[in-house]
Amino acid sequence: MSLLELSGVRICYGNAVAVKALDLHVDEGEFVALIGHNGVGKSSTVKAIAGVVKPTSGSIKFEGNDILGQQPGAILRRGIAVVPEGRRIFTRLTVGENLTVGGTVRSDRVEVKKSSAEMMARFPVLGKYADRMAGLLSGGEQQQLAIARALMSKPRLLLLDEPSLGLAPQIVEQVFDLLEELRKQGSSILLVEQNAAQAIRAADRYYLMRTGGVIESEAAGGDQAKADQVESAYLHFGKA
Amino acid sequence: MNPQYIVDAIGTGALYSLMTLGLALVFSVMGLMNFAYGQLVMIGGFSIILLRSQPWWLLILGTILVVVFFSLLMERLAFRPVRNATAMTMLVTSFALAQFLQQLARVAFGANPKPLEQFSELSVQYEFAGLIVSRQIILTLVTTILVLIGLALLLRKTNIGIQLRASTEDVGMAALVGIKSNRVIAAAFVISGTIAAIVAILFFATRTNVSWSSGDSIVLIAFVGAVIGGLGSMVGAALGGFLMGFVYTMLNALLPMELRVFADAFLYTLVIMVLLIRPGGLIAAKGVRV
Repeated sequence: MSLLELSGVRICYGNAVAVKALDLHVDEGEFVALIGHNGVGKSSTVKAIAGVVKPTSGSIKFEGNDILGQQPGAILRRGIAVVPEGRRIFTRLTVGENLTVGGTVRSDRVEVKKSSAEMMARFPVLGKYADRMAGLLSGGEQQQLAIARALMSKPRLLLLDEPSLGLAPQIVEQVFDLLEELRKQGSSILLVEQNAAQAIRAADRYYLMRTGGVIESEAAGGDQAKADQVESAYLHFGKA
Repeated sequence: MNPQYIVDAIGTGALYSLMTLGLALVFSVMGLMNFAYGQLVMIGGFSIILLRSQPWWLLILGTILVVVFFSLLMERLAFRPVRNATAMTMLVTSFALAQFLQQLARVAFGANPKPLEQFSELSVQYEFAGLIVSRQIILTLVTTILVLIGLALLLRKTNIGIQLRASTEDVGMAALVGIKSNRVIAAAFVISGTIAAIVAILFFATRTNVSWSSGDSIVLIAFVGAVIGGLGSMVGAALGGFLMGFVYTMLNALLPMELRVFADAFLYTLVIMVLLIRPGGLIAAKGVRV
């Protein structure tokens, strides 16, 4: 049984169809990338999994349970944490408070404090600026905070929407190194990215999306040649 | 200029800043400008009349409980059903609710103002360095400072406070990290109701009556104070409310006698000037337009 399974998911905004019929799955401990150009429905897929938008048809199952139509908080409690596009950290809260808020769904406050200290040790920059307003962090630091905040809920699946967006290439490398480290530690990850080559290199498997549906799904597993080949084809699609 | 005016102006400013805080808090959390907020203060006024014969601690506690109850009822019955509607719908709902509560008070307590027995103990005056300070002004100042400190501690040191601040910044993301919006919004209405009750106690302590329309002037002051302070900013709201009270008292003291009837006109001209220079208010929160 897959950890996350989407079957025939269709997402519409009024008469506009964002996703036609999406099938996708993520297994336990797997790092899966969902790649595609802007506007093909990647972010809508993330929003549907997170409970922000409700698909018009299809099913979304997490650990075998139907989660379609559930509220974001309920989905988070089941174990899916989201690192949204644009990071969306709470800029007027301190770094430490952002981490505390990330542990909202956990009932044991002592354990949440412990996790917060662990995150600060794991991401030293967050420890260094624990009392600083999060809005004062650089883009890369904010991305680390967004990931750490999501990890505070101890998720079974981490859902990342365009974590490289708007970041300098060097910082993007750092973000992917971090995802690689999380994968090695056994985290299950679904990464939604436009940066196709890098996502394919990092992921175990990838799905290529175009205008509302998956057109290709294959194992990736750090295959540089495959990443280059897909990116080349992907860029070709982009020009079509 | 007589420094006594400044003492009086600080007292009024402190009271106005409290009025503004209660209104601004709910606006920050759910984008609702609750024009029925003044009616909560009016309900507080009638509670004081009903509890006037009780010991002071029971009068304060009872008034807070009654106002908080109405504040929560307001949220549950009137605002929750329209929470996802447009800002205009919420605004009209708040106007309708304000009218409803006014008429309810008119039916329950009559159209004529109800006399309120004076709190003679508050009119005791002290003299410091040639300045006369009444017990009421001291009480208002101390209470305002305590409420501001209490609110700051609540918002910074407690989980619900941190969740409230997170929700004021990005309610969608707050939901994604598992913050329960119903709980946070209810907490905002409890705090707002508590502040309205405290405002009622301090405001009516110097009044001789309470009427069904007593809340009108209060909500206008709170609204304008929140706008010039900067909607969505708690510090801005406190500052805006304080400036409204301070400037209004100073205008009444310093304008020539024949112009004092136009004190309101002068005050709102200043408000317009502030908004022309800083359309987002003195301390504008991001993403909020006046």
